[in-house]
Amino acid sequence: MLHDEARKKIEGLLGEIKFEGHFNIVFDRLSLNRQKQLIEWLRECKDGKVASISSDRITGLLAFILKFRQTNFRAVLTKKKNEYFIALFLGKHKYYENEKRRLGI
Amino acid sequence: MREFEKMISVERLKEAKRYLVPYILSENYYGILKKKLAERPLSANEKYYYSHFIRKKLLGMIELFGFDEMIDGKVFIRKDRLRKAAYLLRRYSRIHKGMKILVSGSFLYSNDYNDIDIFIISKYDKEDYRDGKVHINYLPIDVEKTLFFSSIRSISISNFDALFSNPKKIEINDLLHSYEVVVLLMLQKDDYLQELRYLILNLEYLSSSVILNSMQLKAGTDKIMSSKNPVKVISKYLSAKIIGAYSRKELQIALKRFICKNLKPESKASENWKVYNNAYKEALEIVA
Repeated sequence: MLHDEARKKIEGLLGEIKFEGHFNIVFDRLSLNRQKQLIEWLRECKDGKVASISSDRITGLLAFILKFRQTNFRAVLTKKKNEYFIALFLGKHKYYENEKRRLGI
Repeated sequence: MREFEKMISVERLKEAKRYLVPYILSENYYGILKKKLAERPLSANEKYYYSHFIRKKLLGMIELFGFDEMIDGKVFIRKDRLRKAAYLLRRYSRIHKGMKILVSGSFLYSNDYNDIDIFIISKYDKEDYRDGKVHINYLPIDVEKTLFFSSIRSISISNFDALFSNPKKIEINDLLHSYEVVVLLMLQKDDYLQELRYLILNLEYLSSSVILNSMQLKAGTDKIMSSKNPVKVISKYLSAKIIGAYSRKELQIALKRFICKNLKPESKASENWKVYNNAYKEALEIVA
């Protein structure tokens, strides 16, 4: 699956969200299994089956974290508590660290 | 190699002549080396001898005595790995000319290792890459001031002498964030080694001003990861370490703020929030 198709699929699942980090590049570099894993994880986040972390910097902000084993790719999905999804970050470890700091998680 | 040549003067070579000729260098080779060090032009023949024989002998001596590199924590480094690490350092120093390069990680001290970590300090934001078993990690220029760098430096071979500077203060918020991520990953059954290393390194420095080397850090993480209940162990460990590391007031404010943010979970998947707040409440009770 290419990133354009994935973006549509994800927005169909979570509603309109921002795609942050290096979404296109990283998504295209994921294996098909990992791409499926990401979509499945997003579905579980939507269904309330995945644990989140709350920000101490931004009120009501929740973050879900996914690590892809044997790679340094990370996904961070943010959500306004009890409301809507905000953004999906996909990037390498070093950018993810900066993103975590920015979000206060 | 060029640096090594700078370390020898013609005078020093003359003094060492009786130990070198004829055991290591022939009279002819000795003359060529002397000429080279005196920066006199060499003939084509002499250049050939210099690059194909004399230089290689010097290279052998560099390897033998290991004085071309900065070695930290030599007692922990396996002899067979020291030689290979020195070779890799020279190889990558040639590829990345003029850059600060450091070989570190379990490759240096452990019988079993997954990859060979080479760190390159660069002012440019470059992508890490793999070259067979070698993993090239680019680090930002200000990394030398961090705990992470001090830790990897403590057992390493490098082409530069790093200046030790006191790491900046570890903020309680950053520490609690790290703890929350580690617990989340543990409960998700994700890989959490990297995050756990960072947390332990910070907690140990905070509580006892000790910067663990990569071997000690590995021992610490292995202990927690192999325990029956890593979540419980890391939570107790956090409570024990943060008490006394900050002022009572600072700790109380931060812990109460974190407890407050974790009070009302959104979904049923919130086991982690309970774990966090139990640990924070335990620490609060002790400092109260």
